[in-house]
This record gives sequence, C-alpha cells and structure tokens, in this order.
Amino acid sequence: MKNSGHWLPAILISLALLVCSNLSCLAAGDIQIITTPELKKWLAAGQKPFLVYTLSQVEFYEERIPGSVCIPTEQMKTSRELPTNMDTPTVFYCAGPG
Amino acid sequence: MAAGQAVAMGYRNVYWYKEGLAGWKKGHNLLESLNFKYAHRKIPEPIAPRALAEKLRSDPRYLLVDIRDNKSRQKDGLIDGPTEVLPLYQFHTDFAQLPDDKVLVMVDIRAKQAPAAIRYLLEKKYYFTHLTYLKGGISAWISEGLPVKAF
Repeated sequence: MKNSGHWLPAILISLALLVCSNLSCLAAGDIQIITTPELKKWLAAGQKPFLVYTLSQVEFYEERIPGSVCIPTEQMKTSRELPTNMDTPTVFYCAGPG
Repeated sequence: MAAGQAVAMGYRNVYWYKEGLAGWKKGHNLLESLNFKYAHRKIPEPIAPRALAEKLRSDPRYLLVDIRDNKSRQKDGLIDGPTEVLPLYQFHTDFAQLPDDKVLVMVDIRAKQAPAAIRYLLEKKYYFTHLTYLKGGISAWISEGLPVKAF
C-alpha cells in the first residue's frame, strides 16, 4: 500500500504530460479535411487560402483549380513557393479518388 | 503525403482537400488550364501487357519510360527491358533526354498519369506513332504474372 502511494502522483503527472503534449500537437499541426462546398466558399471569399496542387507540372498544365500553385510532394522540402508565414491557411489537393 | 510534410515542416494551418480534382469536377466547378485544347487532344492507343512483353523481346525500337516515383518502383519493381527512369514530377524539365527515334512506352501505376505525359510529348513535337503507354500500368503487368526485377 505504501508503494502504491508513491507511484500514484508519478502516474498522474505522466498522464497529465501525455495529454498536454497531445493537445499541443493537435494545436500546432493537425491536418483538417475540407470539403468541396467549403473550399468553393473559401475561394470566393476575399481572403483566399494558399492552394497547392501536389502532382506534377505536366498534369498541372492540363487542369487545376483556379489560383493553385504546383508543388509536387517530392519537392515540398526544397520548394521556395510555400508561404513564409507558417500560419497561412494552406490547402493541399491532388487528383482525388477514382 | 504533402499535407503531412507541411505539418512536419512547422505549418500550423494545414488543410487537405481529399476529394481533389475529381471532386472539384464532379461539382461542375470552374477549372483552369494552360491549354484546354491540348488537355483534351487525342492520344495513341495503349499497349496491352502481353503485347508489350512480346515487343520487348522482338523489337529493339521499344523503350520503356518509367514515370512512377521511387516509392512505387521499390514496391512493385521494374519491367525487365530497356528503361528510361523519368519520374513525372521531373518530366517537364528532363523530357528532352528521351530519344525521338524510339517507340516510347510510358509506364505508370494504373495508366492514369501516362496519358498526360504523352500529351506533353505530343505538344513538344514527338511523333504520335512513336508514343504509347502500358494498358493498366504496372499493376496490370503484375496481375498478368509477367516478370519484374528489383529496383
């Protein structure tokens, strides 16, 4: 019984830390799903998101959502086209299902 | 996935439009194109896996152009035959390395991206009769039990 008394605060602190770290992770960089009506509404609004097509330039030439830029997934880390402000709303899309 | 990479890079307001172009078109929403006429031009017929296997054995003019990414090549392997590896994301900068005196056979995963590569080459004055793509992509080749080699 004495031992369990020692362990209880440690377990509670660990749990609290775990929950906090998960929450901060969610707040810092959770990926949010956006639907067609939501995107359409957003693009029609004054302040548009930064819209990124993630397939190739070859496909981008053919068709894209108006206002997109093309940054292939493979070139994400080296691209200079991504916004410098890390809080910029940024929407990624590709060909979609089918 | 690009959105996941953005999060890893520190972006804090990341969205994924997973319906993509298909969902956008389904809703009859406006699309933008550099050249709609080019985007809808006629392309050569694809070649079936077994017919291609025969051509690779008998006709030295046939050259495979593997436009997949490395992840796919590592997972499914390469068709055993003369191959130029040119991922589609590098195609617009490196296409000129492709010979114009060969029959170029675009190979992708499921024959969904190869038509775009062919239209691009047609626009760049490659011959219609010297271009084709693998019907069903590498997936169909594997389904038919045809051999692949490790990448």
